[in-house]
Amino acid sequence: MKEVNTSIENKVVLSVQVFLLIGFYIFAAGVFTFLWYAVYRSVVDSDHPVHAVILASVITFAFLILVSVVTMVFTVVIKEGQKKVSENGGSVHEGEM
Amino acid sequence: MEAVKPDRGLGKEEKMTEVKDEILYQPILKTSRGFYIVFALLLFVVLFAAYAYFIQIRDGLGVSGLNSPIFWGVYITNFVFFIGVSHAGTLISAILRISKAEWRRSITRSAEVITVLVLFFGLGNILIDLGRIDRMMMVIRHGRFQSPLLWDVVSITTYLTASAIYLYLPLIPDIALLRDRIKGGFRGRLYQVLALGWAGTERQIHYLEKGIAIMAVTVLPIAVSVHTVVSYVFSMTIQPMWHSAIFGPYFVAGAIFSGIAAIIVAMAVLRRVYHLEGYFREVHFNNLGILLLVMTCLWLYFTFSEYLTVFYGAEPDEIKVFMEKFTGKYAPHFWFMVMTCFIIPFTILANSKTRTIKGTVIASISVNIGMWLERYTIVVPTLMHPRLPYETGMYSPTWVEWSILAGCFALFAMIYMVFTKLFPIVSIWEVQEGREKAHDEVAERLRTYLPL
Amino acid sequence: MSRWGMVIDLDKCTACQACVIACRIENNIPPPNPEEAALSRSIGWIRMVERVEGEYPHIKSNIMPVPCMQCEHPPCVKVCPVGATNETKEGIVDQIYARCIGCRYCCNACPYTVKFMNWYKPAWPKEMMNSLNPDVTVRPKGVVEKCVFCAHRIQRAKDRAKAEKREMTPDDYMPACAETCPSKAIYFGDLNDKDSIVSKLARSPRAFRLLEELGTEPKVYYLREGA
Repeated sequence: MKEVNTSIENKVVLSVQVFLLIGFYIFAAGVFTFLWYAVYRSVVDSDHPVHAVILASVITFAFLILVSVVTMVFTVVIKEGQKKVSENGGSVHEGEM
Repeated sequence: MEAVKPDRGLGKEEKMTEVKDEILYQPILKTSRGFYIVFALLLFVVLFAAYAYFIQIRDGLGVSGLNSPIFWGVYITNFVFFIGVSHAGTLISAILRISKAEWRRSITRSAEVITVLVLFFGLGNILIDLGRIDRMMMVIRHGRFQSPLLWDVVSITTYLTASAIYLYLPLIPDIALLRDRIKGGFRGRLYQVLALGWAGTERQIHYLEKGIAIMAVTVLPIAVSVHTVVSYVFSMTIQPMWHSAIFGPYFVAGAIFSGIAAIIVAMAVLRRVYHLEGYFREVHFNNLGILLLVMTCLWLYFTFSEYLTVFYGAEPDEIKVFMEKFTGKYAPHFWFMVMTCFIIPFTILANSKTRTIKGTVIASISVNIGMWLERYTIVVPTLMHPRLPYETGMYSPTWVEWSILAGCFALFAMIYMVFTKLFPIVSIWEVQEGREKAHDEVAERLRTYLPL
Repeated sequence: MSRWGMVIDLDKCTACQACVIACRIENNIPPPNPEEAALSRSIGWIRMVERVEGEYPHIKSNIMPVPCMQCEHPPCVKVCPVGATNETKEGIVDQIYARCIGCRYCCNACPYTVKFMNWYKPAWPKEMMNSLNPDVTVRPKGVVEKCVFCAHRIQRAKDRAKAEKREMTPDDYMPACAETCPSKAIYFGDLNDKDSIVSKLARSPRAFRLLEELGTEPKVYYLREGA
């Protein structure tokens, strides 16, 4: 019974963690949308597109680095954590329950 | 050796000998009565500030002291000041991590928290300054990147994201420690989620350290860009004494300056309140004090350069503003600024005998007051002197503006206090890592510097 | 395409301020109350600006009406984050009240200080409420406003021309200040038409513009006094 409870709890925790990661992706997607929509508007309205293009490129580059770092750390840590949980039957550390 | 005094002992930590670093868990496990009293007082200040802002929303910006032509005042000063203080975490954390300075281990966490929190107050003050805050989505829907304000928006958003990540990544192993200690309730579940299943495996450690290293390098140019574009808001106009090429570096240097001062004050408070004498030692304050000394000299250099250029060029519109600051209505503010930004800190910090914890804290408080005044004397005197001969008056900030400033400090302190209740304010795993591995690493590095 | 410009003959200007009053009435500018005026917050899209040099009685002084300069390269348009301040195709620097977020960056960027902020909700005495101009938006609190060469009159002129089944001519459209000036010191017209009165006067040796060295290229010219 206890194992089933912790297994459900474990799934809830895992889904919240994945939800956090996806939430971050949505935020980054929002930033990209805002930037390139502004570039589009500045080109269509002929309103000094140079500024928009340069800034959109730089910020896109910075956010790609951030997204990569977050993805890398989150996926490795969560995956390894899940492996440990299945190894130790419910908890991250050995001999705990 | 010179400045480092022998430590006066570890204080309360001596009593907690069963678990090492147990004292770092204490704020999370127990809350003293003093905490509640201070929290309540701060809450009162914040509520009063909220009332002041409500009056401003209801009646309009007229409740402030702003007028024509002094369209910007305390709120914009606050904005620049708080964004400036946000350079605290970056400098200490990122630069010291990259340069492998071991003394950073206990102070990175408290610095990084300052950065993430204070950015919200910078952003908040800009929103408070808007005549129509209900229309702030216009900036997203119709934003024009020709305007330096949009450069601000993207730069600060990027910096906020990067700093939050940079705060969170080194926090993960500490959250795992808390997860293993605190099982039930809201906090237990919070730690379980945020620990991301951290088990301290080799692979996890490797990738985490890689991520932190990449972030340390990434966050530096972003941080430099943030205060540079804040300065561009002023320097991209053609107003006398705003349109200056030196503003970019001047503001960045000033930001690092006020950032270090903020960390010193925060550390001193935490040291006293949570008995962290073992972790925030004389050497930390001494080293930060030396950095502060360097920054105060740099500040003097930039300021002198700026004012000498204006004075020597003697351009009529610029000289009017210059004289207003040097001998006119803003002379008290200007000279007080010089005293608090240079004379007091330099005198205290240049002498190793006075560069004690108390000394650095006094210098830091002085610096923070001075840096707020510096932003104020940049914003207002220029606006007071339009090029055409209009009649202009003085700018007298009202109770609304002062309340909101006080509210910002109070709310910042409150949220910081809440953070210390949830997460360790000293990075436990980094201190442990330092204790276990650093000695050999440093010895190894030393060997590579010199012939055997 | 027209490019609207203004020429103010300072020899003819008597500083009677009829233009100031006409502008206020035409454009629904709230009358200043004493407290706000003391704080230097009065709004006046066209103002009389006095420049005095020397000590009385040996002074050199002049008084000029100063509306928005309607610059060709407006510093205010550059810095507006949302495009509320923008330049129309006919060269008028316009203000979209519905989009303005009240950041006042344009006010700080303008070297002529001809932008105004609504610090409170604009209010009129009850008796004046009937005399508001229905063609002009009453601004809400928290937005910036400025002289727009009575651009609402362009639409009026176009409508009238259409009703009379003809094309609109430049003479159909004139801001309130130009229309009211008793000494006809304010000329208004199309700078793109090289034969219009404003074009000819703008080329006069007496013509100058304010703060020309800044490169903003104002479309308001002044004719020097004492020629």
